[in-house]
Amino acid sequence: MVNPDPLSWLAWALFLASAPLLAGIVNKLKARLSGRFGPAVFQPYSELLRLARKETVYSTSAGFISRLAPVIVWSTVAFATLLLPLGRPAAVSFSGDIILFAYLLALGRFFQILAALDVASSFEGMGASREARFAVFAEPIFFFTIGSLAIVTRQYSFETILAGISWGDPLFVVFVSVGMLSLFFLMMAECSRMPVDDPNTHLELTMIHEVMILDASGFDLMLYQYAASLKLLLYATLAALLLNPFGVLGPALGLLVFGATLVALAAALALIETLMARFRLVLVPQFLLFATAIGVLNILIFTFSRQP
Amino acid sequence: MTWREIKPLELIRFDEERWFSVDEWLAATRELLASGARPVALFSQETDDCQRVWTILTGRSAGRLCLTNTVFFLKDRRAYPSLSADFPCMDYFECELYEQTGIEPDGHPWLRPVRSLNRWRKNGAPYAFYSVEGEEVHEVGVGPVHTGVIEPGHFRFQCHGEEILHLEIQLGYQHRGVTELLPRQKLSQQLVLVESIAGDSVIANTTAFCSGLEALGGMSVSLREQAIRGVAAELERVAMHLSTLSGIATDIGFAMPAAAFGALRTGVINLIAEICGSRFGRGWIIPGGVRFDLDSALIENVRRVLDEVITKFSDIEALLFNSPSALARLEETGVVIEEQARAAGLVGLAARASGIPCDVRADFPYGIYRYSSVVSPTLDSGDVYARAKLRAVEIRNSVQFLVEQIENLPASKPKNSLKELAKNSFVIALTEGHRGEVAHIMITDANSNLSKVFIKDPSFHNWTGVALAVRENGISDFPLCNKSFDLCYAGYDL
Repeated sequence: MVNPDPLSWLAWALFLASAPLLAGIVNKLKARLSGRFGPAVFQPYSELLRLARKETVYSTSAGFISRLAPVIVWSTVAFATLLLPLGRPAAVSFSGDIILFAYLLALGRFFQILAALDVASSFEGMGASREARFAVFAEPIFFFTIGSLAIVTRQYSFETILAGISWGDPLFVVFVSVGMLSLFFLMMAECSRMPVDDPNTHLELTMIHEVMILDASGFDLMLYQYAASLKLLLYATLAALLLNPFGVLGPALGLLVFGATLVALAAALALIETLMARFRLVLVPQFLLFATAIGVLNILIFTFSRQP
Repeated sequence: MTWREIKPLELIRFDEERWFSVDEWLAATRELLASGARPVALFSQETDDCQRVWTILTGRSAGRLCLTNTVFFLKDRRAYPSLSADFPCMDYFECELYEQTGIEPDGHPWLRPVRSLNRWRKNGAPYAFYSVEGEEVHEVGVGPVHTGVIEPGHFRFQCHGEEILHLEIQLGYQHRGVTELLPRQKLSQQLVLVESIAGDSVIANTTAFCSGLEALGGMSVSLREQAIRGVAAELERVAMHLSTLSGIATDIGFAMPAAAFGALRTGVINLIAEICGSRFGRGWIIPGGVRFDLDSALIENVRRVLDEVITKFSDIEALLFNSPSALARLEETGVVIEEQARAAGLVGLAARASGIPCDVRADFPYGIYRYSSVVSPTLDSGDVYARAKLRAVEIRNSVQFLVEQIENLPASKPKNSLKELAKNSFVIALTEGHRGEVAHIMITDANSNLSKVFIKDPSFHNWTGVALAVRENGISDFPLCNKSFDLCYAGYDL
């Protein structure tokens, strides 16, 4: 269950520390692609530091949920990360931990939505309603993608599923590429990136994630923002781990390929955010269903490829 | 005849005016509105014992306006049967008249504050917004303080889920009393005030104000300076249309054109700064002409910047208008059909995007536009796409017009000075700003001083368009619909 290897825990700590960097890289690439200089890649760290130093103000209508939720949102994402094998065996691992992973993130989302409703503002209520609605469509993406891999490898924890991926089997090449695509879509949806949500907009009526935290400030806002960047790195990492770089290439080359995959995913995200307009809100479920269909495709590939 | 046809900038001596009874005035206004005229202005002037009211509507023959008037005596109950129920385009005008003078439109369907919210509070009770009732109907109030750096205005939505059923727009947060201040100031201060009516329509407002003064003071403007005023107006149009296109791209989260249009706009406003020292054209236009002439070096610069703008613009325009993801957002969003646009009396770009030809430069040519006509195309889908695309088309047309003008600037002539203003008269000056028709009505008293100024920004007509456009759209599309009109809060609030 709990891995006593200190290196696994060190990898986890490194993961937590490097999360804002990925968001910084996406922002920098996005700015460069649209012809601006953009902020430095370490800007998100300064932002988090600035927020952490500020006083936390609560709305008069906010109850205890508003105080509790930021900690829960951050810690569920941080805990979910423990289940991933980051170059070393995962810090925490057991058969069926993929279910825990999915519902830890769902728990965080649940509290985020509660906190949005807690301040009793019409904006945040709208954001909560959107978040809850799109979550219904986003959840199957994860289960169809990771679930299909679980069926193929007959393993039920991240560590063993990902270790079972080999580059030699042509079936896995198809699996992995299709799986990475649907995880990438999931990342766009779960991390409120374009074309589902616009992380840079100032228009409260169009927001999904940002509008839910309009009333958060100071340390609480820092936790929300930090959790959002952790989530982005989390999904990007999951997509990169599908390649099983550490298992196939060894630690040194594996880390290089792993890092390169993350940057490539960040670049793809930046490219989409620059060259595409955001979806109309009513079309978002269609987009998410498309990603689900890719997961279903994965299962179909498996079913028919195993036929004699 | 209970109305007469006038031309813009025609001197009207109201001591020689024939006054009509309230019934005659109403009948004339009704008849004109019923025949398809659109209101241009409804304004009043208070004298010792009465309130004079004038209505100006678009005329039946080209280049003419229709003028009709009446007098309400202060000792009587001042009321008349409202026109708005039959002609929604009169709605805001009647509310404004009531707010300013207390002349009551009986049976007005929705009498509400225009600028002075506090004046309407009775016994401390807050103003009651129009509300929709129902199990799943919810109300969203946005503003007047917004999350972005934009002007203040309050928007009250009645929604069913994500769908907007009704939008009420409440403005007046920037009411500075421009029209009250203007008659009390010296000319030099008046110009500064007029420049600050709307920060992005400086040229349109100063040109209207100065041409009004010139008409009252019998002053002529040389052809060269008229041409330079035209150059200023078109540069302003190009810059502000670019700015709006950048805003539309931002609102749909399309980063590349948003940044690129913004960069092009900076080039154009920097050019304006190079000419007159202000990026928004402050201080360029003065009575009698312009303060800053264009010499050959500046002309060369203008040509260079315009070349660059039009080359880069083509690429970015293609990126925005050929991208399926952008078209999916722009097309069929925020539709105002021609019938609605006519009923609401929309003007300028918003009207043209709904298929109504309405452009002061073409309908009531002034200044240089009398000699060099402009092409004013229309689109008929009335959606966000039409309003965005029309801006792109107008940028091209304006650049072409600019190139023609700077290449054929007439020779300069010495300015003549402003004479004494005509007594007891008024003129109406119209210009086409980038949003549409700007009207300045300037009234002088018996001592030939400016006694009252009435200003109408095109936004005064077009806010109704925004409210119509967002109906049955998703509330998340409101910012996009709003940006496609890109109306002015300050110009409305005065």
